Amino acid sequence: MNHRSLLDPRARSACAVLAVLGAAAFLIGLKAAPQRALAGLLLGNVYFLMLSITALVFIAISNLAGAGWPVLFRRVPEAMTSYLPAGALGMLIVLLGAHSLYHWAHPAAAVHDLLLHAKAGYLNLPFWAVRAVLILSLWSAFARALLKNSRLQDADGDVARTHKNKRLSAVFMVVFGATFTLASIDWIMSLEPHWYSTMFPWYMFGGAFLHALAAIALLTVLLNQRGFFTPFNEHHRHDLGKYVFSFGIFWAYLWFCQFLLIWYANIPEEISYYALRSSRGWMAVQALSLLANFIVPSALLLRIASKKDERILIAACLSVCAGRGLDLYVMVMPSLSGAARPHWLDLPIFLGLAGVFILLFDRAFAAAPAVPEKDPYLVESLHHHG
Amino acid sequence: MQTKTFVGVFDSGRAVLAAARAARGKGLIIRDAYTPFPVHGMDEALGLPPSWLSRACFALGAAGLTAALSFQYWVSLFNWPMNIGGKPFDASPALIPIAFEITVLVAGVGTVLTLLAFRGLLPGKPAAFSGLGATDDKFLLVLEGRPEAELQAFYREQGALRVEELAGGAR
Repeated sequence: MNHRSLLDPRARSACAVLAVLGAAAFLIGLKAAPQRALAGLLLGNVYFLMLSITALVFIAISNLAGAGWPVLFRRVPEAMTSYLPAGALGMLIVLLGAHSLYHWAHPAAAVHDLLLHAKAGYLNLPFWAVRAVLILSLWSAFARALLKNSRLQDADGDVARTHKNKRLSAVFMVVFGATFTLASIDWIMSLEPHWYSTMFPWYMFGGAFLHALAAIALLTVLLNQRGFFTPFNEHHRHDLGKYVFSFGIFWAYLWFCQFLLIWYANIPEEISYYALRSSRGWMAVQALSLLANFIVPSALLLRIASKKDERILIAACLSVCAGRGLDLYVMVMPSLSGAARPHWLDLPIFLGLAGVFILLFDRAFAAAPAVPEKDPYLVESLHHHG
Repeated sequence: MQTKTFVGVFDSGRAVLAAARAARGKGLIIRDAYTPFPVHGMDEALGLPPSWLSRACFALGAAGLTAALSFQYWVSLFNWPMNIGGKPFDASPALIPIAFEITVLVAGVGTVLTLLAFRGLLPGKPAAFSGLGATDDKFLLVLEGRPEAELQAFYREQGALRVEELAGGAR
């Protein structure tokens, strides 16, 4: 159904060109600087993959709470989950290049290293791959099931589908808690295999969910300007703004929870993470991340009137989208590169994946009616008044 | 002609909200609405100006933050410097949890107290209504400034369960 595509042909080919250029940069990078190329792929892929799955978390939470107000634009987070298969492919490439990225993936590394030797039962490539397959197939299965019910309801208007999705959402939230924890530890935390933090998966979730909320708000407001969600009003914006505002604070709270204890105790095996990230220029990147994820959105969205203001909401969401990239940059790159110096591979690979995400989102959004017409909660969403 | 004050008793938030909107549409003077729980959209339906309470909340939070930070800096830099784990005396991260908690405490409790003080909602205040169910499961809309017949007709039209005259116009 190309006629309903959001992008005009030029924008679509621009995205395709971005994706091809990103792939080309990645391939050239594999020869020139394999570690950096793989790190760029891991960063960008985790950025969009976790965005997809936390968009599904937004849907699940709304289903569980019986929240009517987001039904009008639920197709936006639904379409965002379309990146999951591409993300699985990305993780497969990361697996193939794991030796350049994960220090523990070298069989020789564990021989002379007491800690890695002790962790080898968990941190080894076959088990890592099994976990990744498990995580990604569970995520895809739940996304597929929740979306299927939602789209079948467009045809038959069966209320039972809403109840079914509510039960599915409850199971998904439990599965998500476990799988997201594993994903954060396996894909990102194990880049520095000697270091550990029990706050890490929480902190990762705070960042990913904040990002998903900002992206949902951003895409919904932009699509509304094209007339997809006509009764969308200031109260929807107010609620989306409240969500972004509160989770910006939540993210900062978790960031600080992880930092404070490690900083206070100052134990060598824990402090190494922050010692690295407060030297060689990383402090500035860290400060930018705090600014973009917490200070800018909180300050912009503090007042009721600014949460309802389209332009201010868009600015805050863009800040969070950039902030999530910086947040992941500070998690991934210091362990590999030492100094905080941007690499020519960083941006092309990220933009390539962004092109893929936009194309997949566009296709998925066009494949179903923009509004779930027969959802029993839709009426509530149409008359949302704060 | 003498004007009177009447209370209409409704049995749902939706009904009282619709009545308030209709009353504003007709240009009737709404004294207030009394409901057992907050009804979404009521402030708009009553035509209330935005509350200044959020500004009071911000000011109280800022005051709490300033007080907590300055007290902690004063103690750890001037009044009683202590060496804790070899950290510098002005180790800012250590001061943040207290600063955060005091900010939330002062803003939260302070806002409630401000509301109670400015509304005169103190213990011993006589009840504005008794027996009409506003603290139970009924929703009240108080209109004034129009002849009795007009108000009675309006309430009936809006589906009020009963209409009472408010003697003296209790507040």
